[in-house]
Amino acid sequence: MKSLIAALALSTALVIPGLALAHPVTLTANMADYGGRGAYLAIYVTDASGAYAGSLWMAGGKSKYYRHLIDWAQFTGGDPAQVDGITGASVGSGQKLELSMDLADALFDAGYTLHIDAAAEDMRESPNEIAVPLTTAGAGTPVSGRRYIADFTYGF
Amino acid sequence: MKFAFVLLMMTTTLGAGSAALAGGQGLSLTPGASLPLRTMSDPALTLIDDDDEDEDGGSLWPSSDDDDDCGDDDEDSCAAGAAGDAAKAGTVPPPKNGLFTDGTAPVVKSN
Repeated sequence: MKSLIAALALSTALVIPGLALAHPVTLTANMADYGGRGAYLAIYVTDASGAYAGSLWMAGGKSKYYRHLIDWAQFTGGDPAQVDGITGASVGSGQKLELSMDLADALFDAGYTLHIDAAAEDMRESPNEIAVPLTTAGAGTPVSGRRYIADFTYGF
Repeated sequence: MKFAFVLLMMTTTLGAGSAALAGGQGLSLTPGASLPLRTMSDPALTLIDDDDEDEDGGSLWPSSDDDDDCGDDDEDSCAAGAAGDAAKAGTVPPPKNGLFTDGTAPVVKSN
């Protein structure tokens, strides 16, 4: 009996920190009716000092266009390796991009900011189309974009 | 002779008066004499910016960027993992940038 309790306590101790470290998050971007071809979106995070922390998603597969995602390209040098395995199709006018991912708990309420740069062919580039602090209080609150994204929400 | 002299004076007076009126109120062949001078620093002049999008700092994404043989309308028509392009989601693990929980990858629910 003692060993059973010890095993239970041990497994609980191992599982609970794991749960605390992960935050299942859904990112939703509703595109505006901007009337152009599919928009490229770079979704990335900066830390409290404004330094690039990493990318979460790239909508758009041709790396030759990445330089039009101006801020992201400045942070990364347009390096496609930054978005290896997290790249999908561009997002059309009026469409919705919905992503789910397990994010590190340390990203929330610690000064991190989620950014989205946007660009579409024959249209203007829109660096920092979205910039939203990652906080637990801000989850579920839509943020308006400037040109291509009607609104963006992250939720748990 | 007297009559002719009086007639000459009358016509001269009338002509001079008309000329004075024309110069003071009407059009003039020398605009500088009747129109106020405007300078570039005139505060009444306003520069109208007809492009309210310049403040975004963005430039255009020219079509000329599209110089490869892949069809733009259908990105899937390009071979996955074409030279220099990022690997698509699901083909390789996500980057170990510390943002994702180890062993997980973002999933597209709709696009």
